[in-house]
Parts: sequence; C-alpha cells; structure tokens
Amino acid sequence: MPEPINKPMRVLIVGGGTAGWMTAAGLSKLLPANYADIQLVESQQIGTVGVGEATVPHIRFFNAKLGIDENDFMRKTKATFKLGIEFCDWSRLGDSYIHPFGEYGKDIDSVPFHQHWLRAQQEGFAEKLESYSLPIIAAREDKFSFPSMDISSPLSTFSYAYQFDAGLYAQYLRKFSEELGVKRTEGKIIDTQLNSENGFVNSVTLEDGSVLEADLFIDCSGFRGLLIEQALKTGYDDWTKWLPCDRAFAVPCETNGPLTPYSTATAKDAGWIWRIPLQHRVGNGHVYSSAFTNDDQALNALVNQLESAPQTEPKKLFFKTGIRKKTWSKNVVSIGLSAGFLEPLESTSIMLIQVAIGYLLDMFPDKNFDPVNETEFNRVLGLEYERVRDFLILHYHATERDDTEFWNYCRNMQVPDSLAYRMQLFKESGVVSHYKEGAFLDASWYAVFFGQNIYPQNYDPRADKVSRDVLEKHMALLSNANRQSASNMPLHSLTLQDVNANKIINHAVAGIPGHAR
Amino acid sequence: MHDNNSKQHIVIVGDGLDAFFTAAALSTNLSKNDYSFSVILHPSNTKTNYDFCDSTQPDPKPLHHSVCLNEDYLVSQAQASFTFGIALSGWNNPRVAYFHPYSSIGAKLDTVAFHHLAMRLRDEGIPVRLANFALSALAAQANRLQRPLPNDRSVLSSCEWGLHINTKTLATLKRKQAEGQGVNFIQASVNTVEIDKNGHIDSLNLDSSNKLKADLFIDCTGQEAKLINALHDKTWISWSEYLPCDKKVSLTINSATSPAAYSFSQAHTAGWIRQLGIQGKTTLSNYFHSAHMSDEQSVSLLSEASNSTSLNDTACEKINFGRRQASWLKNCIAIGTSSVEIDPIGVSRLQLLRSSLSKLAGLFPRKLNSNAVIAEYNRRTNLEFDNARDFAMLHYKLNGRTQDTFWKECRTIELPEVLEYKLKLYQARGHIALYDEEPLQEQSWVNLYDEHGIKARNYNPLVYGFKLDTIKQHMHRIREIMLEGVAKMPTHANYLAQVKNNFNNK
Repeated sequence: MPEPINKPMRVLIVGGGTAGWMTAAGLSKLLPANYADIQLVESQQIGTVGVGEATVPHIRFFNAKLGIDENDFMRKTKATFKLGIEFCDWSRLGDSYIHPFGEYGKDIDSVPFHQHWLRAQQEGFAEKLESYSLPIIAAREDKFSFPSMDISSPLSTFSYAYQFDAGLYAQYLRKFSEELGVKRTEGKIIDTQLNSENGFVNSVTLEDGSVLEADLFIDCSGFRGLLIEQALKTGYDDWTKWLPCDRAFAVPCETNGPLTPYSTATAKDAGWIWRIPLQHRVGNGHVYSSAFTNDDQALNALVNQLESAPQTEPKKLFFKTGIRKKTWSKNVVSIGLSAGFLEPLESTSIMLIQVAIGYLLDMFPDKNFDPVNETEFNRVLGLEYERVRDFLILHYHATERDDTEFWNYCRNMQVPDSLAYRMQLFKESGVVSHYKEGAFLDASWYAVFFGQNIYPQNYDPRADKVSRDVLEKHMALLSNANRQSASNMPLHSLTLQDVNANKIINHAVAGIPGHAR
Repeated sequence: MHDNNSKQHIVIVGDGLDAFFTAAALSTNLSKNDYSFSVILHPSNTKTNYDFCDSTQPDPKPLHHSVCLNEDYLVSQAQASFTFGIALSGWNNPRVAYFHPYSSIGAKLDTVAFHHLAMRLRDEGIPVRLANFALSALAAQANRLQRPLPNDRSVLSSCEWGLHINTKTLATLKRKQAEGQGVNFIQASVNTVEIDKNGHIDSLNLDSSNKLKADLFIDCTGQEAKLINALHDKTWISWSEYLPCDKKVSLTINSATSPAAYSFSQAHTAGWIRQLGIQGKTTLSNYFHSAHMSDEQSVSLLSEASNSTSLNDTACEKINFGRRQASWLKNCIAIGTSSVEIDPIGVSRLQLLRSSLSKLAGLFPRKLNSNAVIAEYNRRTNLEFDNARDFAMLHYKLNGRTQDTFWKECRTIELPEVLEYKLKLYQARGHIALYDEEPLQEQSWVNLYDEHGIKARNYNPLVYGFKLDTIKQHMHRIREIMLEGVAKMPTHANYLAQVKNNFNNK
C-alpha cells in the first residue's frame, strides 16, 4: 500500500519557464488533489529561453489531458497550425523537402507504401513522394483543415501541431496551475542545502533569506541545472561531436510573407536558420557552430534574410548538446533544458518536457524514494533523448554538401553506432528498425531519409507481387485524392480566423502519433 | 527489377510444419519471376517438435498477411477450434487454479492502469480477481464464444482469441499451398553440407548423390539443425538453467465433445501437463524433469490425466530448451524449432514460428547478403525469444508449491538481469516495463505476478485522484457490460457449427 497520504508530498519546482509551468500544470492536474503540495519558485531577474516555439503533435495530447480549450489556448498563445517542417538546402543546395505529420500511402499487402513507390519510380510511373502525402500538399498551398476520424477519408492520414509563443504558453499554464492551487514564489535561489547522510536536497535558500523545503525537487532551471548539476554534480554527456552547433541568435520580426502551416529550417554555412510563423509575428533564429563560424557572421546571416525589420535586439543563446548523466538523481528530477539539450531542428524541446512529465507520473515517488523509480525513469527517458539525437544527426550527416568546412565535418563524422546501423538497414532494405520508446515513428524516418537523399539500394522484393496495372491505378487515385482534398481545404489563415472567432469546435484528438503521453 | 538478375534459388530443408509453413509464406511473398523454391524433405531423426495439437495466440499487430491463418477454413475443414487463454492449476498452490486470458483485463480509468485500481480496492478489503474483468476469461468460463465484428467499438471488441490446430493437418495444408504456388518438393535427405571459403553454405550433398546449390538455405530440420550446425556448431544457447523440464511425452485421444475454448496447464510434482483440444481430439503432453520423475511415472500420470489405457505409442523424448545465438548466419536461416525450443507454458511454438516468419517477411532483402538485415532479424527474433522465455520461467520461479523438491528447486532459479529488473519494478510499484518485441502484453504479466502471489509494495499514486466509489462503479460497469455481452454469445459448440455453416454456404 502506498504511503498513507495524511501528509502530502511537498514538491518544489525550481524555475518557471516552459518546462516549469508545463510540469506544474501537469502535476497539479494529474496528481490526486491531496497527494502533493506543489510550489514553484522563479525569479523575474532570470530570463527564460522561450522564443517562438514550434511543436510536434504530442502537445495536443498534453493539452487535452489538461482539459484545455483549443480555441482559447490558440488565441492566448498566438498560435498557428503546423503540418510539418520544411527543410531547405540540407542534402544539397536548392533542395527542399517537408517532414509531414502524417503517413504517405497505406501499406499494400503488408508491404509499406514507400516500397511500392520505389518500385513505381524504377518502372517510371511514380510521381514525387510528396504527391502521396496530403499534409505536404496542403502545406505547400498554405492550407489547413482538421484531420478526420473517418479512416476512409484522406483527411485521416495526417495529424497536426502548433507554432506558438512559448512565453505566452508558460503564462497560460501559470494561470492554469495557480487556479489549481500551485503556489508561486518570486525569488532568486542563492543556496542549496543537502542532507549530509544521503546527499538528498533538503531545501533551497532565496535571496531574501527565506528557506523552501520539499520532499521532491523538480529542476526546471534551464541549462545551468541549479540542483541536478550545481548541487548534485550529476555530470553531463556531451554530444557536441555529433551535433556541433553550440550557439544561436533569435529575433522576431513582423510577418511579411505567407502564413505557412509549417516551420522552415534552412541550412546555412555552419548551422541553420528557423522561421516559425505565429499569428502576430514570425520567430527567426540562427543555430550555429562557433567552431566553424563567428558570432558576427552568424548574426549577419540571420538579419540579412529577415522578411521585415527585427522587432527587438537579437538574443544570443549558448548551449551544449547532450544529456545529464542522470536526469533523475536522488530527490531531484530534471525536466527541460536542465535535463539535456537537443537543438530545435525537429521541434522536440516541448515534446521532451512532456514525455518526461509522463514518465514522472508513471514513476511518481513517495517519501521513501525507492531507487527503482529513478532507474526506470532514467532508462526510458535516456532512450527518448538518444533516439531524437540520432534523428537530428541524420539531417546533418546525410548530406552531399561540401561547400563549407562545417558540412565536410558533418558528412565525414563518425555517427553513433545506433544511427549507423539504422542507416545501413535502410540502405539495404528500406526498412526502419522498430522501437518502443522514441517519439519518431517509421513515417518520420522515411521522410527524412528520402528528404536527405538516402535511398535504399533495392526496393522490397515483395512489392513485385502487386501487378503493375493495379499499382499504377492505385497510386494515381491516391495522388488525385490528395490533390482534391487539399484544394478543398481552406487557407490556413482562414481556419485561424475561425479559431479566433471561436467558430471551431474540434474535440478530436485524432492522429496523434507515438505512444500518447 | 527482374530484368538483369537471374532467379534466386531458395532451398528449405525439412519435413514438417516448419518447412512447409516457411515455404508457403515465402512463396506467397516473393514473385516467381525472381525466385524459385525447393523443399528437401529431409527426414527428421528426432520426433516432431510440435504437439499433435498446438495453439496460436492473438495475432500480434501488425502480423504479416502471409502468416495469417484462415480461421473459418481451419475451423470448417481442419477441426480447429477457438481458444481464449490458458487455465492453469496447481502452480501457485496445488489446489488453486487461475486463468491467463488473451484479452485485456478491465480498462484504464483516465491514465491509470486497471490493476492499480484493483490494488486500491484490495487495500480497502475488497477482493478483486483480475481475470474476472477479462472478456476472454468470462466467455471461456461460460463456454460461450463470438468474435467481435470489425467495426465494434464496445467493450466486446476487447475480445482476443487464438486457435487450437492440428499441427499435422496444418502442415499438410501449408504444403499444398506451397505446391500450388510453385514450390518444388524433393524427397531426399541431406548427407553433408559443403561450406565455401567465405564460410557460406556452398551446396548440399543429397543421398540421391545429387549436389544442390542455392542462394539461400533455410534450416527447418528441428533440433538436428543440420545446416546451421554445419556452418557453426556451437551456436545453441541452452536454457536448461531457466526452464527446468527436460523431457516430454505426448498422447492424443479421441474426444467426442466440443473442445473447451482454452487449454489446460496442470502442474504436478515434477512438471506439468498441457492439454488442448480440437474438434474430436485432445492432446495431452507431460513436460517433466527427469531427475524427479521416471519415464514410467510420467506415462502413467498421463494415462491417469487422459483416462486412457491405450498408451502404446508414447515414448518419452528428451527436450533441450534454448535458442540459436543467431538464427540467421551468412546464407542460412534456422526457422522454427531449429532456431528456438520453448516451454509452451506462456507462448506456443507455433506462435513463435509465425512471428519469426512475419519478421522475415517484413525484412526480406533483395540482396541476400545484407548484413544489417541479418543483424536486425537476429536482434528482433532473439529479443522475442528471450522475452517469451522470461515469461515462461516466471511460472517456475514464482511457484508456490511447498511439498515437492522439484518446485522447491525451481524457486532458486536465478533470473536473467532484465527479468530480475522487471520483477523488481513490479514489486516496487506494480509497474510493468515492456521492452521491444514483447510477445505478451501488460495484462499477461500483471495477471501472472498477481496470481502467483507477488504483491506490489506500492502502486500508482494517481489512484488517489479517484473517489473509491468512482473506482467501484468503473469496475462494476466493465463487468456488467462484459457479462451482458457474454450472455448474448452462442455456446462454443453452436458457434463452431455456425462458422462451419457459413463457410460451407459460401
């Protein structure tokens, strides 16, 4: 029987950025009311990293769990819809592909669609792969409508996410959490007291001398890892040799282009530039490697390509890609940037926060802190991070670019064994190795493999069992149906108007990939 | 693709279900324009490794279409019957029985798994038996049966089932299918296997003094492992330290009645008897440990269990549980019992055979010598085999029989690391960790721990988010809907008749 709950667990969340308030909202909503007493301490002196944030579809499940109204949330966070990410200039200068939130065609006789497409390509009757993905076609036309639950409809083949202002999202969740009883304390932490026997954190001391005690501490203090690293000295696995970018400039500007239902990541000489359209502005940023370029060049590259004048002074960020050796150690669980950093190339920052909250709820401790909770949390979260890491490395490594030293380095670097294996398997057979933990499903890997010009040497021999006639008709029908569906969709901007006018009622949590957490 | 390449030749060696199922599946998947297939009917020098009847379990999703079974056909034409799970008796305590249902147990309340709710009620002194909330178990108990309609979204759609099948008949059917798909069957035995300088199989020398070359060799010779052993003779990993039974004796009797929609696993002083029925026949197999039971004792126990005196043909065979270190080596793949031999208390051999073939179908490469494909096949099959083994061995490790030396010894079995960890997690907080390639899902693990008396010290604290009454109502409602659903199902005998009728009228 669990510890009797006559005295609630005291939970202190340290830091109030996106990670802190998502954690506060998740725990206050999903933990039993009398089980935990949740506090959050943050300081207005310390800025948060929150720039414009793009997400993956998992966010919808998180919001749904909290019972958040989509229209209200979108209005208050200035959110737009997102069908995928466009990657420009990654494999070759001039290339563009979209990683969609959806699948290409369905399996035929248990053989995945892309295998049939490879065959059709070889036999000369294939259109480009994009034609078989409705979200890509819609994205290219700046269209958006909601997916359907009806599996016979082309509209059932995709999912969607949001692009929003992460600062506003944190505010939104702050209000949400405070209404549920989370107590917020303003103050800067200047000291941490450890238990001399077991090394657990006992309390933190604020600048004004007040002391906050807790049973469980959740470190959402960002890169510096106030508790997990500065107090507990947990250590960090540095992944910079595989993902060499270590700095970024971020700057918003006024929208002066189409309201795209997707984010764009354009490869540059020593990194890449993001463009994330929100309702009221466009978020821009340049992620780069200081080993291969300098700050001035990076800033110029960013500013020179803006679609309108910068709205603020560009903000400079430093980071080190990698993961904490233990994301949960003793009575400290790190969530967000304190746990690890992976550049936002595939919009995974918020997803990783969400996944960590989900695992924390699965393994939520009582005051005895059975070490098995920590072990399991670290095992599964570690797998999640490593698999996102491999997915990101693929974008850099699978390139033909040789126009700068940076790309030469990426092309020639030795990638982790797990990725090398995955790439080899795909090249040999077009198969993606399955896993249980890991946010990106087969379809995402296919999209990026093909987008980066990694093609299997051969298509699946089983595809030959389908007669050419049947396949040709099937594929023509599919691409036509997709074009038709896309042309019937309203423009993204119009759907957003309806959202803002509260005309949309969308309760379907349809098409969320992955094990929904 | 079939312009420039000459055909690839695939040779399957073996005379039985493994070989024929493999031949049928591969010839379904691969085009005759590019591949040719031969089966060398190499006689097994050991008895067949399948019981006369074996079972399948609910189809893992996605299961490749080439290994799906036509249930209506098998029921109508091959005496197959449906199965909802396994009734186990005497494992935890000589007098206690429990049911391992194939369907899910209960339903989540928000994000909280059902068994945590059950644990909470028990803490309030309310007894809960998990299987009472599994549709398969309730239907089996009532001897009623109906497969859900494809578009059913009610609790009744949680029904999961497998088949009991006559393995000899299935083998014959698969052979016919393969023949119809152009597979060439050759009556010959393999004398020697020739290896080339790269360590690949070059050719097989047949007793007909023919030499047979091929691009890919599939070893379905069971424990003899004629081909893969010739490549490398030390690749069998024995599981004898984990799965204690080392002998088996089987018997099939006529049974007039329609079979039970589940199999029985009855533990005895030195092993257990597996009993499963198809229409008109019942197979009983005694799996036992030879140090604790003689062959005579074993046979007489079987005779008692079967009420049968005609035990002429019952010789005890040695069994050697284990798996290949790698089932795919160079240009040779061991499939079926040449690749894994498992104690069928949890996962059946037939199920592992289908699953291996499904994996092979999903990975089959155009170029046979594809290292990553080979590594991936071995990775996936090994994970599944080990997970199945772990589930099986828990039945022994966690037994509650205090009188028998055999069972006392079983409790000292040292668990492999991953299983030790899984058990620890369950004991700590009722948490089930599932890894990649698990043949059984959460409910099977929970039910096993629970019925073997493993108590979690703790459970998911989110349970406290619900009022006790909410939990009670939730559970009551599930059971009510299930019982209502079961009451509307036809009896097993009637359902079998219905399936046959429909099939014959098509």
